[in-house]
Amino acid sequence: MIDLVLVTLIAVGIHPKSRYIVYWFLFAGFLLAIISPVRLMYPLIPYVITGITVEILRKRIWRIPLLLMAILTFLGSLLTQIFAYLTIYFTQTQLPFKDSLLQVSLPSITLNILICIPVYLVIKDWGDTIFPQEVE
Amino acid sequence: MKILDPRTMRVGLVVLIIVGVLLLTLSGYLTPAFNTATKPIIGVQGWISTRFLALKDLFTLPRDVASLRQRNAELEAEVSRLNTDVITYQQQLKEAQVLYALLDFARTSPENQYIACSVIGRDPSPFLQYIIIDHGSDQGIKFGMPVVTENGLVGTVDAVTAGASRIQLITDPASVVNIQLENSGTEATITGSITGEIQLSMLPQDVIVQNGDIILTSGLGGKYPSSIMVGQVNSVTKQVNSLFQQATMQPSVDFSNLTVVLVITNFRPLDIMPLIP
Repeated sequence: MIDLVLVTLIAVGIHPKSRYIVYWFLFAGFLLAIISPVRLMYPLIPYVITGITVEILRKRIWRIPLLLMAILTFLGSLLTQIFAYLTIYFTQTQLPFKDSLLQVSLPSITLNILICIPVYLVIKDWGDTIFPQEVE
Repeated sequence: MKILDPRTMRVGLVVLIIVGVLLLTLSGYLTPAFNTATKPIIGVQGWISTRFLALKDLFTLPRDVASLRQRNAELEAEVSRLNTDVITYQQQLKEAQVLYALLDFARTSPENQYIACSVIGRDPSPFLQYIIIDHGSDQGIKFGMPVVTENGLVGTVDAVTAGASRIQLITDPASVVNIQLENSGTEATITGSITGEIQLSMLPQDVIVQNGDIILTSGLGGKYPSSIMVGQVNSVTKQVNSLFQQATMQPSVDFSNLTVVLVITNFRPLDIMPLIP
């Protein structure tokens, strides 16, 4: 399943003009946690960790935004999948690891990475339209 | 003689000529002559007519184009409005068909009271199978109430807010339903999985289970009413060294196209956990 909210927030987060990105991750994670039946406020915690990672990494790999986008999408998707699996396993029902990995986690991560580039391009276009660069 | 008067003769001659010409015309003898005579006139008339019409168009066309454009815009707006109406009516028809089917189902089980609810969302987690409906505690929905459609069992109410509820589907990995096979009366359980496939378990080895056997709720455990359609046996796996048979089932409800569901409001689910030793 594509996590479009996560991918979009990462794309917004790595735009050089964006601010308060951790709060956006916190807000989105809170909204999703309200309707999600997974306990421990999933996906609030993995979203906030991903937001902090975005905030840290975008200042270090700012020259190659596409690579940064792919890395952050992979890390964020992996984190949310691991967190969801462990939460459900220990608090709700014991999901089979192999089926979970092969039929849910890997396809979800792959789909997120596939969609991250077009999402990044769309968000970058919007960002550049909203914050036009000054010509020196 | 008066009759040979030159004036009378002239009149008579003229009448005779006119009558002769009429007779020749009616008999068709003068047609080639008329054609030859009128051809240049028709040509001139056509030339004048064409120029006149062109001149008339030159002065009147801009006004016509403006009025045509306005009319075209009006018609396009009308077509758009009618298309919107058609889509709305198609949706209403589809919804009415679903509601009629649900009404028929409700009439077959008059002992139950139902609330029809629209499905407004699905769970964002890929591991679990839940839906969200547009009715909550304000409309009388309570935790644990069974949810069905006209085709069969959907699940149970898992969480309730004032205006919405979350339904755990029977395909969810954490869902367990006590069932019985209609033919043999054998009781077993079904459990969901992360792939959405439903497994039958606790089927005794000595029971003959065949593909296509109807599966109904048994009512054991007090979580669901009895005799609600669940699905059909899809495939059976029997191992000699195993205590129970394994089988998969095809649910009677298409969970990917759920739009409207019925919540059974007069069924009180029982919590038998304190009674289990």
